[in-house]
Amino acid sequence: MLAAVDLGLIYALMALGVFLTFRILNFADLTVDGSLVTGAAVSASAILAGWSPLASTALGFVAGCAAGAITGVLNTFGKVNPLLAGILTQISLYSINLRIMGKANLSLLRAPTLLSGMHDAQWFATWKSIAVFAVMVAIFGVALTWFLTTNLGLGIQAAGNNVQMARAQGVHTSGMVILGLALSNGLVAVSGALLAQYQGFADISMGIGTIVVGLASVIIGQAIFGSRPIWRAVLAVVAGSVIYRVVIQLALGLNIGLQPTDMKIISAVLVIAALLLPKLAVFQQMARNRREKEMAKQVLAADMAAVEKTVHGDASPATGGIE
Amino acid sequence: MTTTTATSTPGAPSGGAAPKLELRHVTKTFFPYSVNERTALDDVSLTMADGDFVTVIGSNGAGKSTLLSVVAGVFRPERGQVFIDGRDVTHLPEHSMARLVGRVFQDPMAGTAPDLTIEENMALAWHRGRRRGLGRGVTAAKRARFRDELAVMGLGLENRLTTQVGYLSGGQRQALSLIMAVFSRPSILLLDEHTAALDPARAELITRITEQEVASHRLTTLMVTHNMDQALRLGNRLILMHEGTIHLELTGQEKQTTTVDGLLDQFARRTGDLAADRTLLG
Repeated sequence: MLAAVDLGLIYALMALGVFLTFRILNFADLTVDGSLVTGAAVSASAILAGWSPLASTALGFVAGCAAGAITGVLNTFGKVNPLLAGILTQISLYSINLRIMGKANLSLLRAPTLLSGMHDAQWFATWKSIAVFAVMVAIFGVALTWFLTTNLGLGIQAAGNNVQMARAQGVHTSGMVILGLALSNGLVAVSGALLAQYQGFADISMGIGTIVVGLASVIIGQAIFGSRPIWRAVLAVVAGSVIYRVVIQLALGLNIGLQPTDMKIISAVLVIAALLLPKLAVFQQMARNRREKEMAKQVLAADMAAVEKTVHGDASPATGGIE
Repeated sequence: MTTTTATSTPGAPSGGAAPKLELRHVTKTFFPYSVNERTALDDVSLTMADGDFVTVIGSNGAGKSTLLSVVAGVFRPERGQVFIDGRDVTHLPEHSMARLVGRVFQDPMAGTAPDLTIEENMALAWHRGRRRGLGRGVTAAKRARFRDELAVMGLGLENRLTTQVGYLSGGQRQALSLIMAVFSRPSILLLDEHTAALDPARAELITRITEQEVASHRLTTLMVTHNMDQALRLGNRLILMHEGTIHLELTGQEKQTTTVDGLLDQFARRTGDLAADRTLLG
């Protein structure tokens, strides 16, 4: 079970990447199935070529950014539909990843990696490894939260939230889409690089279904923990990733004849459930209550302010029931 | 059918400075060389001095919104040039034009980002036309400024800076859009029927805030409206468009004394269009 949490935290970086495109940019980016492997392939190859593990992982990040940028350019300048742009990059990456690795599987078992120390000390799947990965994810999470609240980050948010408004406010929306996709796939690639170093190998097929896992993490996390403000959304995505892994682990451990190969359909069913459950009457009612509470809070705050104004004697005539 | 070239400058004498906005022989055709070809602007020239407030009326398809879109850089004209502050901006992309132009749309949902908070929306508008770097989007200093700007409207929005804009009503969102359009003090303010989608009380409120903001910042404003009464009441100049050309301009005294009926008569005379009535224009 602790191994599931380890994996959940490593995959959380990938889920943060999916969050950035799917939720912030409103772009369903399928590049991730390829860029996860690209991160693993590039970092593993670099490590085996004698690069330092840290530089190798950084190189993986850069490669992921490049892949995302290509999808972005296809979509913005090429006017290619987002899904198609992502699939085209993804399928190209399959060939490229094989070229990078030279074969379908690269072993890192005897190579020095970022995680060698933890491996040798037999920290994997213990509370110690969980603590280390949690700190690592926290650093990335804080960085992403900070970035999204900068002027540049607000530009990316606006480009995804209301394109017409963003342009009218002088946001270079195409640039924001490319930048967002690049950063997103950079995160996904780092996740892939760490995964390869954690499990001791990079494999050409390790990326299959990544997007579904990412979506599951984002949707499950935000259904439970909410999506605003941004720090809450980031926390929710990380939690969603861990919950997803734990649920899969539990499902496989149920002893009802499920095999590891059944994981993909379990993921898909999880995503479908997370998408459809909120449509049930009971959840709709919950959402309505939450909205009403929020509205009431707002109106109360405005009323309080109005009262304060009156008390201080500078009340202007009522401006009419604008609510 | 003659084209009135509106070049009068009833605003304050500009002392030889370049006009705030100048359109020279602008032509914009949609779907050129096809059976659907439509000339939305036909050789339109318009000069606005600093502080001019021009209201634009005309029937559907007269080219009013296209005129605004050309000024905003959304559409590029096939022929003609657009100058702002004496600079040729005809070929600037839309996001670069945003430095010079503030816009409010008809759809109250169009001008703001619903998932972002009031202060985040305002921070975006605050940086319009500036480089967006890695500085904090909302700082304490900016927040104080936002609060002051919002307080002028008297809607209480200044106490709700961290509310997501999606929770606001249409009228409130339009008021916020208006503040966001004006508070960077753009060279040109473009209002595209920005009260048309609101109920009468809220439309009246937005009209009042518009007058107030335009007057206090002396903004050079181009406003499209379907409401003839509003067109006569607001601004110092009124232009009437029909089939892609400017057919009539009223300024100063003439504009103040003209009634809605008088305007309708003029419109009918100019265009020879007997069907020109309130339903067509309004």
